[in-house]
Amino acid sequence: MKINPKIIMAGALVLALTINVFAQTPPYLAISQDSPTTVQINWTNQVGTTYRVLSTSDLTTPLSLWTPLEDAFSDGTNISVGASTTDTPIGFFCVQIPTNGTLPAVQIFSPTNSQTVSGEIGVGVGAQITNQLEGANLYLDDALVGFIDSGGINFNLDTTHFANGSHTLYAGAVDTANNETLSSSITLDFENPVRWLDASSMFNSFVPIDVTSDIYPADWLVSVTDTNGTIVRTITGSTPDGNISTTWDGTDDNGQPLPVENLYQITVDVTASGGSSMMTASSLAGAVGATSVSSTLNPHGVPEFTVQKPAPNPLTAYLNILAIYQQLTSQEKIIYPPLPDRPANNPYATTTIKMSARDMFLAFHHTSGATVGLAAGTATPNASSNLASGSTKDLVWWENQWSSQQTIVARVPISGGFNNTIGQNCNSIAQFIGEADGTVGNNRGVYGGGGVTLITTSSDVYNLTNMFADPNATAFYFYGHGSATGNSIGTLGAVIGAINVGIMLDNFYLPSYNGKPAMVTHKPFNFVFLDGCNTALGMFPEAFGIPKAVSGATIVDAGQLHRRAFMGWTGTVTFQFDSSHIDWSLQFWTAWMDNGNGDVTLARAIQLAYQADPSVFNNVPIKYYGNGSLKYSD
Amino acid sequence: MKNTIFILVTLLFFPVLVLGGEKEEMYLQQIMIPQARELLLRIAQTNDLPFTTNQVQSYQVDYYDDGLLAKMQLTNGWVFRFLTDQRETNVSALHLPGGKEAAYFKETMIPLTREFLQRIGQTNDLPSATNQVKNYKVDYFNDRPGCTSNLRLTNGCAFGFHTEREKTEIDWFQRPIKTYYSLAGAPKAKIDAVKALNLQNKLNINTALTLAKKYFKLLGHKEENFHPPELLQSYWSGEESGRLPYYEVSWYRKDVNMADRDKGIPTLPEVSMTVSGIDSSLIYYSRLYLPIGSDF
Repeated sequence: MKINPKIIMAGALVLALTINVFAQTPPYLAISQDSPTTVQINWTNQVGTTYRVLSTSDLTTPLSLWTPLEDAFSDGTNISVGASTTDTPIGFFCVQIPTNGTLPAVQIFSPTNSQTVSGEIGVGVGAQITNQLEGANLYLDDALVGFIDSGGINFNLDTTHFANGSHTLYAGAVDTANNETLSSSITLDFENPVRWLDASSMFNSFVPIDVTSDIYPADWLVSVTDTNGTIVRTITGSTPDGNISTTWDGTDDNGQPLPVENLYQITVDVTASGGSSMMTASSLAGAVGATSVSSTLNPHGVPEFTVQKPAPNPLTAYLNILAIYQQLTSQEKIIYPPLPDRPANNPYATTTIKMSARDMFLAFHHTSGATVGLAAGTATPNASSNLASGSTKDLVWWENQWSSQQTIVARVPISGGFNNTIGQNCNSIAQFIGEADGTVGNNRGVYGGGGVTLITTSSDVYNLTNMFADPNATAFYFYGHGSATGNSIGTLGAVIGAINVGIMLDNFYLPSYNGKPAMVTHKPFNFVFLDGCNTALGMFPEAFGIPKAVSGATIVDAGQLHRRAFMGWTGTVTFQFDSSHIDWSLQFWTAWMDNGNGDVTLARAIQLAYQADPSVFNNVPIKYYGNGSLKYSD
Repeated sequence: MKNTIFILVTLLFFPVLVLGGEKEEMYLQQIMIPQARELLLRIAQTNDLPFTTNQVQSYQVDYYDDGLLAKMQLTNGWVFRFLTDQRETNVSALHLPGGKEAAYFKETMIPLTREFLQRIGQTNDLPSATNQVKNYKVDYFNDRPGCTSNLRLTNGCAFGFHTEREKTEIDWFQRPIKTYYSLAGAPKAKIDAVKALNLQNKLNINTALTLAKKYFKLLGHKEENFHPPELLQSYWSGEESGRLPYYEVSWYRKDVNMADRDKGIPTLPEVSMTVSGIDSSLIYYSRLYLPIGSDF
């Protein structure tokens, strides 16, 4: 690719990590020390254009020979990318707009093909495509392992989270139309003595820590560090065979819970213990019943063994099978596979197998019962290797199991029979929610202090609709008299109208938006259950920002879509004992709250209430709009 | 205006000692015991039928302006609730005796849980003893023999059971894996952590569907009985949104008019499951409104 020299902007010098800045005429380029081993390169840019960062350690190097580090998104006027100074304490940087080349050109600048890597590595990517760049993906062995959509396209890849050995790496550049252009792939050899496969990034009860170490016997130390850099928890142990399996439950060294909704770094350090972990090949033959054992060292100094062992005489095995076969009936012989050809007699048969150091150690330990302190011998560790210690780490977010939101529970007084039962049911629903709040916290209780809001006057309705606008209130259960159209609910003199709710929450329906029907939502509720006549028939779902399914409709959302659902009745709900509607809502809430777990989907909770009394739906079925996968804990 | 009369019945030296008025005792004998007997007959628990006050451990009647609410516990553990207004009385069973629950738990729930986990290949989680169970709950139907129940293992796996006409099946299974995150207003570090989840995804929509179909068959369903499956990759929401390494797949039964789904009708026969792209396992299964043990 050719570079247009007119748009080379500036260069900056890092000399023994002393920062100097060249060229202060716009567009600016600046450099600053970010850490002892990194610098930040900042510049103003032309929005929508992809820039490339290059470096050299010698300013006399012709520009065409400068090393490209990475391309950068230009989604703002000020761009900042980081660069490592570990290998180049003296460095010059420039940024360019690569042009005049053949597009698309997606490539991995570093590391290079066939390189052996360990620990955390940076993967610098060039992403020049025909259309505007929207994002860049990184794939390892065809699995997506990184995504970047701002700043420099330099992926941080922790190779200790993958198995040792050969891996294929390639990048993809995605444009605004979601077309992806892939780079050529490179092959890397990962070599880490300590590995943490399937490391978690989130947890809400405990983090599994399952680490494999080539170093053994060894002592291990798990350190948990908070965002202030303070070590808040340590766990220690030892491993005879390199398998480390433990957990962290979110508590500190005193067993006290640490703050949730926080980031923690877990580091596992492994150090060899009990003498050399290596085994003398010559001493192993007898212990594992081998005729000979030879070994070689892998790049970390870990021995890999070739073992030759006596094998059973193939004729003996054949004769054993023949003895069984001769006792079979003709019908049974049909089921059995035919006899193999008779092998030659070979009382000195041998077999050759490859064994890892771990397998050899386990075999040795199993056979001899020896403890782990073994003498060094032919397969001693490479003195220059890092075999004596190693580490792996992981960043985890401890999240509260439940999201934060509150439920408004309200009802109207019912004249005549059942008022007390209705009141008790509503109190029970509020109590379930309150219990959940007591268990999980995170502001998940009943809105307004925990009680049921009684709606009897227009003033009560006014206060209730003001509650709707509070960002903390995102769920609503209401028991009242619904109108024939389903567009209002309440009681005499205290009526909640769907239109008023829609205006209050700024949620509305557009018959045509870009030629299609659409919903515009600004304060959508996550869950609404209007427990009254005909409530599923009107516009309440849309008023609460939970649209009914309309073919081809779109949702224009001020926020991205939270799972939502609206539930209501499709006819006149008569509170006769033979209909059991009186208890249906309580059964639904009992099922949905799931003994405080809040882990049952809406669809299943409806089914459980239905199973308890199928007759409820025979005359007036319930309906729900939205996502049946919604859980109370969402 | 609430007027409460509390009546305590104890069994000490006399079969039944009633502390209360004649009115309540009459209600006990003429309404509560016969209604409870009728309910137990309805749900085929004929060994537990109450006939006399000797079989009553305790009862309580609360009066209201427009009716009354009462509870009665039998000596064998059954607890009933009664609602009475001017017109009629409604009875429901609140608790069944602990012995019955325990027998159902050990003889039905535990074996079915083991079989289910074996069927889906999660044999590391097989419960063999009750100490691997965190909690369980059985809810008997009031209008017919049968019950729904659920069980949660100490490792967080949860199971739902449906028993009817002497058949039982697991109709709900869930591993304790969160497949949805609401990240409105969440800090960047949390959003990054959730984004990182999808980087462990080893499936795509094609392989996820293949995997889900495998579990669909393992759990005894036949594709020819259902509409083609619909697949949705789980997502997180907030100021922005993104994908999670989980795939939700649903099959509606062949006789379902798919237009009814958009109408909000909840009682459509359906099988749904979620598979994990992290370890290619089944993490959620539910069968809704299907007969026990079969698709039709």
